[in-house]
Amino acid sequence: MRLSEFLVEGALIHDLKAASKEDAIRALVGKLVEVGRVLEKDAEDISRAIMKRESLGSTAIGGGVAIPHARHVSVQSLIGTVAVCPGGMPFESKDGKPVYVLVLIISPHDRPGDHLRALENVSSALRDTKFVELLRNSEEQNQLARLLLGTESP
Amino acid sequence: MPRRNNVPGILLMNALVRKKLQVTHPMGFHMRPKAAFAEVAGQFQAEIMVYWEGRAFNGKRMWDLMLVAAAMGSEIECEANGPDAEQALDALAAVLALDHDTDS
Repeated sequence: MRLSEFLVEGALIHDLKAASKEDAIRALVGKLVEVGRVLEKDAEDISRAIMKRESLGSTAIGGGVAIPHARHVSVQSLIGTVAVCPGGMPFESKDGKPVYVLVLIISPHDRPGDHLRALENVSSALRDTKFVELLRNSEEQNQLARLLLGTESP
Repeated sequence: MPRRNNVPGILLMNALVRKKLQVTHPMGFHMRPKAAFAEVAGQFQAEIMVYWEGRAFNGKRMWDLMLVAAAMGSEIECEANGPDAEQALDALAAVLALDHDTDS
């Protein structure tokens, strides 16, 4: 699952302001509702599932990146979005550092392979600290979209 | 089998051991076992390498493990190199064997 196959371009957030993990996750799910990729009636349940997963262990893997995720019955195919928090936010990362890039992934229950590949592709893209720096400096949603969706090799 | 002990100044015998670990969770080698694997691997002196699909990954680095998209039914080969190599592999085998939560 390449980034362009599951990231919802209209749901990218280039300037997230969130006081907490929960705020950030709700904002991301809310964006997906806004662009019609998640139903409003499912938003709360999805947010709770993601927070529950966080309670089992933070998805902040270091380097300023977090990958909050959950499986949910309401999605037929894996979808996701990205928020950049320019000022950084606490996410209980193992390296103790703030998170600047959050990649939200919601997958169906029956496609574990897609989920693993999505994690692989997200990590492959974001292990480059210079790339993360570019994302952090995005001034508008379009710029974020070009960086995330326009630079993958086929 | 080389003798190992913790007395300082005594030369410890290095061991290089490899073990194939089965991925049995329906979600494959997902993020939770990856995090547990990296954390456990980090507790040992031995270098830990994971081999999967012909590529090598540093078992102590979460960023490397994130690239191991091993599905249920597949296997990853773990290699430990150091004085506590065997203990390391036993501990890592337990991480995968105990990963049986139904939730992610």
